[in-house]
Amino acid sequence: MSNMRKEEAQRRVDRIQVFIEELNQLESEGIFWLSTEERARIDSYHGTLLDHLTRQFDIDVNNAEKQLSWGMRIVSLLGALAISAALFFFFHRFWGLLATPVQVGILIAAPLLATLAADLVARRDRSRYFTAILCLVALTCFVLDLSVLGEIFNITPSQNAFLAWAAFALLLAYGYGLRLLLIAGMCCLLAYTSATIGTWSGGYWLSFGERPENFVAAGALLTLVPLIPHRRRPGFAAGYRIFGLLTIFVAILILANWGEISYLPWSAKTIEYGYQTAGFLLAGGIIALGIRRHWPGTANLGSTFFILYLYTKLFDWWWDWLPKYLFFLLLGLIAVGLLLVLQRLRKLSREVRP
Amino acid sequence: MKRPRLWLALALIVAVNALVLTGVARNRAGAPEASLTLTERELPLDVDPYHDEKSGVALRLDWNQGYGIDQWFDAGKLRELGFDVPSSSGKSEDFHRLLPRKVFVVLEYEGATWLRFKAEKERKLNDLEEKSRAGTITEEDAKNERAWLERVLRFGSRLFAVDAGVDPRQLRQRYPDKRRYPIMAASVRAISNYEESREIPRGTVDHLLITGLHVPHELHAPLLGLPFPEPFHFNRSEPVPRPRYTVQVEWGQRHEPWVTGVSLVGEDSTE
Repeated sequence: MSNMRKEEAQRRVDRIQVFIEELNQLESEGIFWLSTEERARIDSYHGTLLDHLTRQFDIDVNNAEKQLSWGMRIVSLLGALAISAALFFFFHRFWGLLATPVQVGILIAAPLLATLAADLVARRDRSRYFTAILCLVALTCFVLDLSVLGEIFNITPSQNAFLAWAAFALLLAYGYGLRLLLIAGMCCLLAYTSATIGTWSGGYWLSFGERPENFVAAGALLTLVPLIPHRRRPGFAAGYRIFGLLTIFVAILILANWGEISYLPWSAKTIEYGYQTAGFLLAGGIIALGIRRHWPGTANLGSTFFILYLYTKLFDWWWDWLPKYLFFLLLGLIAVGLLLVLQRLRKLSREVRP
Repeated sequence: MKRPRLWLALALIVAVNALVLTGVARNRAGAPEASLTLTERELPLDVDPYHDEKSGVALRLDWNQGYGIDQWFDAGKLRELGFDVPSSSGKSEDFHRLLPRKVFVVLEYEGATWLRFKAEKERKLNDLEEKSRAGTITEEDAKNERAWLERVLRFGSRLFAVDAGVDPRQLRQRYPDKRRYPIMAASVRAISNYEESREIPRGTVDHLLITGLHVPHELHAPLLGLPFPEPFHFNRSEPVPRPRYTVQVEWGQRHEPWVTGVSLVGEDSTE
């Protein structure tokens, strides 16, 4: 039990809930029931276990608590954003009243103090909501730190700042198990990797957005991160995979409709057809991989983009010459057709399974 | 968080800041790479008077974009900067597909390009008077054009881009006058002009990588409280403003500038 993580504890609690509900259902239908003594023993065991897990991990024991937890996460995010904005405008407002050495001192001290405060709070905060707020504030302070130093000393902008921010955000994310910081770290890492890949062709780093292939490569690298075992943070592996794939899918969607901005030296139409084909193949492959590996988020992402690619293709073919009502009717019928196909596939897979 | 990871996070903050400040020190070490005294014409106040709570003072680096670039930023210069320039039988899209590059640009302050620009605008002013007398231009159009020309001549920037290269040391050898030619990093792009029934490759300076200068607290007193100049409107007939201050700027070994002095200009100054 001492090595259990919060996610494992939450899964155990969820299994207990489901077990109790199913047991009650079987009893009410007269299919199966436990003796009074057996039921009392199980209830007593589960009660003690739930009490222990709640005290140790601050997890949700029922649906009402789960809904409240979602509310707390949203409030925690909004609170962190508001405090970060307050910090930004505070610097903005009072900056000019301070001498340069004082400015530099404050800029360096702010993220250090915020990090120490986050660590202090984390030792008492089992819920991690307050820790998340302080970690996001620490990251904001670090971003402000380098940005404002760049302004004060008129430094030429460089993509290396994204690497520093990514490293810091990921240290906090892994240290406290915070997905919000993981997302921030992945965003910074994506920006740094795409910009650096962009410079390999000789371009200026800030133009990395002009070539979506930079993001395809960077997204692909992110999807490979889960190859590094994540035993202590298993949820993070799925995060990298989904974020990386989302990046690739969006980049391909852009290139499938706007071939002029590709690195490839072919005509725009050829590039667009190529990426449209690649998009469908990739989405199909990701759906299959997600089902095979029991990665529901991955399979859903693949399905979403398969439909998106299909709809954009249909728009290309039919929007201009079909009446609008007919266009949307056809889209709806295609969706129904896809549902029937998927239903058939699901039935077949049940027949195949013994 | 485990202690080692916490110390790593703190060490990262300290190390990155140390790296940045070391870079600043290296830029400012030794004799300045260039040193100029500019005015409000080249360094107007960078502030939004209606929405800004900013207490710090920053100046925007204004330079005369576009003028004279055609004279030197041709296909040969583009190739020198590393662009894979399509042949002149290519389409304009072929040029626009080339990504911008980071290079070093030579700016000229109050040099031959400014004199040429000034002479051209003064000629246009004279032509305007003749056109107005001949009735080939309406009174309103003449007034607007005159207002714009006078503003450009008396309040426009006197900084012009005159060359570009990938090696700033080679550029400095070509332009040794450090009191007239600062060298700055910029993003440049290949474009094409349609001339004589074909696409002619040209280059353009997209933007300087440093577009503003921070004025340190210890130097910004003369600029505090200066009213922000009203934006220029063609329909108004306000007099052309005069520059109100001069700014001493130095450039360092990494071609990054900083402000070393600010003074207000006297009422009787000819600036």
